[in-house]
Amino acid sequence: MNRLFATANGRRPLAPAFISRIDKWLLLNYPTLWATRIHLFLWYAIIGYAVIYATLLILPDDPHKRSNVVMRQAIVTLLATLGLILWTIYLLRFNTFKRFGQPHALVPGLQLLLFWCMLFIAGFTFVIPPFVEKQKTDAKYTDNDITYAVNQINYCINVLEHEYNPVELSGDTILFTATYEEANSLNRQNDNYRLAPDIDADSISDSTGSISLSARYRPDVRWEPADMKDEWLNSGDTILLLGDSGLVHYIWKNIIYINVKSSGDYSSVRPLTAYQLYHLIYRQKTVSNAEALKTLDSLILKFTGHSLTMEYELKLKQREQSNRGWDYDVNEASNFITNYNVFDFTYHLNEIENAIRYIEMRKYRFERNDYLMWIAVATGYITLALSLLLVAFRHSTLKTFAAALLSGVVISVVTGVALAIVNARPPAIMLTIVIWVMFFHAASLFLYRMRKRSLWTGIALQLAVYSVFCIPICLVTYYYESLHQIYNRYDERYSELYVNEDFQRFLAQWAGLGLLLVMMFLVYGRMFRKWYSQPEE
Amino acid sequence: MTENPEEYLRNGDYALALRRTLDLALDSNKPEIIAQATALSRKYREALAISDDTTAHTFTADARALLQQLPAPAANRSDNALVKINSISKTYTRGNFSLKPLSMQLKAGEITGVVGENGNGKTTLLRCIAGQLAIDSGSLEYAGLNAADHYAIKSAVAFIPQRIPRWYGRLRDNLHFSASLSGITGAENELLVDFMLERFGLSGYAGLTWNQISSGYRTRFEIARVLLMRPQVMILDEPLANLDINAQQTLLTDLRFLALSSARPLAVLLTSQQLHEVEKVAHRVLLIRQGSCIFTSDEPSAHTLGHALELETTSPRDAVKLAVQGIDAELSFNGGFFTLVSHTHTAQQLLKHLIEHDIHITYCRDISNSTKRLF
Repeated sequence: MNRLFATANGRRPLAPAFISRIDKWLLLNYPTLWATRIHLFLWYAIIGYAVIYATLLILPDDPHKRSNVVMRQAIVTLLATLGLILWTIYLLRFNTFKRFGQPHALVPGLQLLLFWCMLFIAGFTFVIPPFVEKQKTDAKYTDNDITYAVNQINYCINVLEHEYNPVELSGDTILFTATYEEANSLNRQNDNYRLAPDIDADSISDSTGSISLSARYRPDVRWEPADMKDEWLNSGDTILLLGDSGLVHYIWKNIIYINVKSSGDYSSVRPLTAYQLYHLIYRQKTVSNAEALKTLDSLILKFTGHSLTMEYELKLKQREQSNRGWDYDVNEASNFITNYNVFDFTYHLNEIENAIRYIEMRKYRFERNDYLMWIAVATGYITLALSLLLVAFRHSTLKTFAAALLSGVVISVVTGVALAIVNARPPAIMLTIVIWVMFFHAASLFLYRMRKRSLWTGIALQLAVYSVFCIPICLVTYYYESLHQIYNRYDERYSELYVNEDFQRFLAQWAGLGLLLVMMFLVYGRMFRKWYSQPEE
Repeated sequence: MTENPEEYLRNGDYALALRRTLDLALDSNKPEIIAQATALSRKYREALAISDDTTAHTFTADARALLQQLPAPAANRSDNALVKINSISKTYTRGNFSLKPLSMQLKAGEITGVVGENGNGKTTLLRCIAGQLAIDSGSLEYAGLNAADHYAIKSAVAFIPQRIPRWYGRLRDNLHFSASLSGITGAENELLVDFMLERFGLSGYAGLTWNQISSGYRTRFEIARVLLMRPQVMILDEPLANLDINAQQTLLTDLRFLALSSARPLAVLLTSQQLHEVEKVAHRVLLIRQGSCIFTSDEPSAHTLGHALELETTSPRDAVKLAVQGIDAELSFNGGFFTLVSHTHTAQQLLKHLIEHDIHITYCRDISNSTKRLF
């Protein structure tokens, strides 16, 4: 172990002179900080982060293929765990508390914070692989690149296909009212097919580029326009906005072959709608088939690795021979291309979509579903638990520490089984937890009456330390679950009672952390001191 | 007993003079004096030993120059007890050993020795006094320690076990760590650690680890480490066990010097099997047998047992027997030593009598006041 960390002259590998100076300064002035090895930890963490980052940058990663980030995260986590084990071994060497010096009363609390920070830093290496993946993908594709490429692919395919499959607009449209009330009002008039009174058919025709359309209201739809926009606009269909809130949704043949998902939200280039494509191809076509084929070929080659020109003619012949693929129907209900396989066969649509999905996954992982926040929260909780264990271990004997862990497990299991047998409701469960926590604290206070160091008071003290965190969250949960027994939270009449529930649960978590730190700084540190210094049996 | 370094210098006991000078320098509490003393020690060490007159003269001059800046050595024994041990007893819940009620006091500047055979309760007594083991009856009063709680008591009462606990990292770092834990920070920390390294001859080992030093040096290290934590009471369990004869003598002398410190007098309590060595430095010796204190050297009852002389001889046993005939003395032989006990003759008189009868004595010791006679 010594060979790993110290050379013959006492210098540590990869540690520059200033680290040694900091080490000496901390040793001479702040032994508690020095004993945590935070300076070495931070230095080696920087090196570790840099090495992992550089290695991941060098390792090949094809953004068009399924990401292997999970495997990389597992390896990085394993490395971080090994680093933490080494650090823990190092940590055991110098224990300020057990040397009976003159430690400050705030030392246990300070140690908890430092251990937590260090463990969190180590745990957060989990984020490096997806971060590097994102960076590499960002370097290859800008936000606009994907949308632009998809637009080009859709355009080129339509150019190649439109002569064989001319799109004919049927004029079958649906008119959505601006408000729900308006729809109800129209519904009451029991006229299924009439124009909405505030929308002029001519204006619709104008806005859609002289296409003969009629806007109709369909009463079985109970969507708010805004909801419809979110729901259907993403599907790439053609929706035109009327005024601020009214929408017209055109049901026609879908000529969108490839859809973009996340890219559309972050790109300044908008994905082309079916309607826009229709216009570009039927009204403003400027690109020849040969040019379209060449452009499409380069794009397909880029996303899938297949060359289209080599196989295009052959595939068209195969399509003719199989006598299928030329007449695709429009399913009005789903509005999907029904013979998708034919186009997939010709243009590798599935592979392109997958490649785009993988790219989007890499590029927008951090923007979606609070990915980073959830990792931070999970890492925070896990590392806080580990920090508490470390602090408890450093302020206890091995025997008491092990006994406290075992007792905690036994108490949890027995209590859980007992609560399950009596079919306890959530308020009772919360109350039981709070009672246990109070019991641990009360039992630990007995150490002030003991003349000897007792195993039982040691166990109670440690369990009190581990569990105090959950008091606020248990109390908040108890309150809302009790409320729920009287006023059903799913009943809209009582919804106001639960407006702040999520926020208060969130606050309770921070309150739990605050309570733990305050208790650690002001109470537990002194209790550990009193307990540990008592004579043994 | 003032242990004047000038006397050592005069007699050419340079190593002793240096150690005593270092202790006096530490007592001065002046950083510049401590630094000078450390430099003097370093200079002495680098010369390896005083092997010629020039070196001796230089060292003597330097030491005297330093001593002139120091206060005159003075013993600092106190009548106030740091720890009062009142009839404490201890019985282990597992096992059938009991420490019978025992009373004593530990005073600053005094060395108390506890002797006895193995398994008779010496370590139990020490651990009880150090606050490590709970006592069953009696009381321990740490009134003289000015300690707020039991943790502070354990800080003030340093306990050095027979087997020194393993430590990690470099020797020097451990000393720095202990010093800074005790509130000695910054330049003072560096100064005192350098001083302690010199004082206990550890400078050459400062960069080594536990595995790289012998058990004797581990004991030295532990004493240096403990002293940096500025205890008021130092308890040592069998400190001589791992030391060679010279090292034993050095350690005992050091303990005597440390206890005598005028600035921070220590109460020293130690156990040992080396009866004579302990008796040489201890102000009081307790003999423990089967958990009971059966002899205390400072009690008058010790002198009622008569005068005793322990000796070895190459003369035949019959010759010795013949020699003692005619005097009021009782002769016994334990296989190794003869013991001669008399209520009328002193040890010197007994020795003179034997020599006059042509008994060839190879070793002898007056054990009249020694616990040895009780073994």
